[in-house]
Amino acid sequence: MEVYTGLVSFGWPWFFQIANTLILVALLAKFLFKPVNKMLEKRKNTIANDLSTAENQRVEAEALRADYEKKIKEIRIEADAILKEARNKADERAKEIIQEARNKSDDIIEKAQVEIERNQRNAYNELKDEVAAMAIMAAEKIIGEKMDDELNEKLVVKFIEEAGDVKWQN
Amino acid sequence: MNTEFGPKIIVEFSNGVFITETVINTWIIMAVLVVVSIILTRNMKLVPDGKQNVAEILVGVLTSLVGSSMGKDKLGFVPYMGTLMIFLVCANLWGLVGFRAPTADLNTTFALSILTFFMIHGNSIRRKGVGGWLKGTFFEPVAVMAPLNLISEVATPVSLAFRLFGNIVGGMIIMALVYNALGTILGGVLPIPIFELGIPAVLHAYFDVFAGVLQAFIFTMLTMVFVSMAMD
Repeated sequence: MEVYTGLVSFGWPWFFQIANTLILVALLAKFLFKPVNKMLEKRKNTIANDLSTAENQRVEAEALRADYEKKIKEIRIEADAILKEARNKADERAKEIIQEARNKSDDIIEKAQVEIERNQRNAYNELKDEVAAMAIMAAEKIIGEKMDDELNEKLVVKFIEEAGDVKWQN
Repeated sequence: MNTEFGPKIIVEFSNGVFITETVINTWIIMAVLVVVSIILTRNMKLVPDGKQNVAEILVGVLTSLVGSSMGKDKLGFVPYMGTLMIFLVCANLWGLVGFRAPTADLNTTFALSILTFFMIHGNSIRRKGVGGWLKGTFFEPVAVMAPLNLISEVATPVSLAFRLFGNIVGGMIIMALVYNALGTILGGVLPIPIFELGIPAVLHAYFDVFAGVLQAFIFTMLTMVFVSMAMD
């Protein structure tokens, strides 16, 4: 037989329903609200972390970039300096080489001139001796007799020398 | 026609303690809610998928409701108020699946409203101290008002309980009468209950869905407002 309570009546179910409500609140707090809130919190933290990490990395990258740019600038300046120095050195060296070459050529020319002069002098002296001998021989032939060798030779040589001083110099 | 609208007693122990279908239905709802909660919040990931989105939206909506009606400093009430809302919506709609709604029983609605009553005054005392609670609750705006204030405070849970109970049980009774009437239109000539097929749906939509959800919302909102007012 089915037993009904009155439509408006209090009884044991009231206590049951209070307990049920409190139990349900505890269960849903544990199984629904807590895990979801934990996940939301975790997501919030993760996003905040990611954002701050990204920001840090951006700042770091910016610093690195500035650093590299500075370094590149320095390197360029240094390279320019090195190139300039090298160019200067090369110029100097070239000048030196040219100077050396000029000096050498001057030396050579000078030596050649000295040589030429000496040769000229030798040739002149030889020629002078020969001409003297020939003059004596010619004089002997003209005179027909032998000249006093020593005396005449001196005479002729002196004559030639006097003539040569005028004639052979140039 | 069954003329008994009270809840059926399922078990009665020898010491007089009895369990009605209200309690059994509440247990079923509780079990469903807990199981659904566990399923929804299982394997939660930082990047949410379908069922996790449902759980997060549910908790998010309840949290923002509590935050907007009680204040951001009282978000600790979210589990209670959220559970109250979820339970009341499910309980009020329970009649749709053919069971007796647990809220169509004064024991349920009074259990809830007594909890609200204790929350109001417990939190008021916790926040303001006994002196502040006495003064704020009974001697405002003037001490002469104390008897009226007392009645007002006692009336709060009573009105909460009867409002919810009346709405749900009224709908239940009307639906029972309508089903009965539709069943007797042709005097039971037709073996197929043809009129009971589509016509009650409209009434169900109003009495169970609309009134049920509305009353769940009203009960929860009033609880939130009363508790929050008592604390501020």
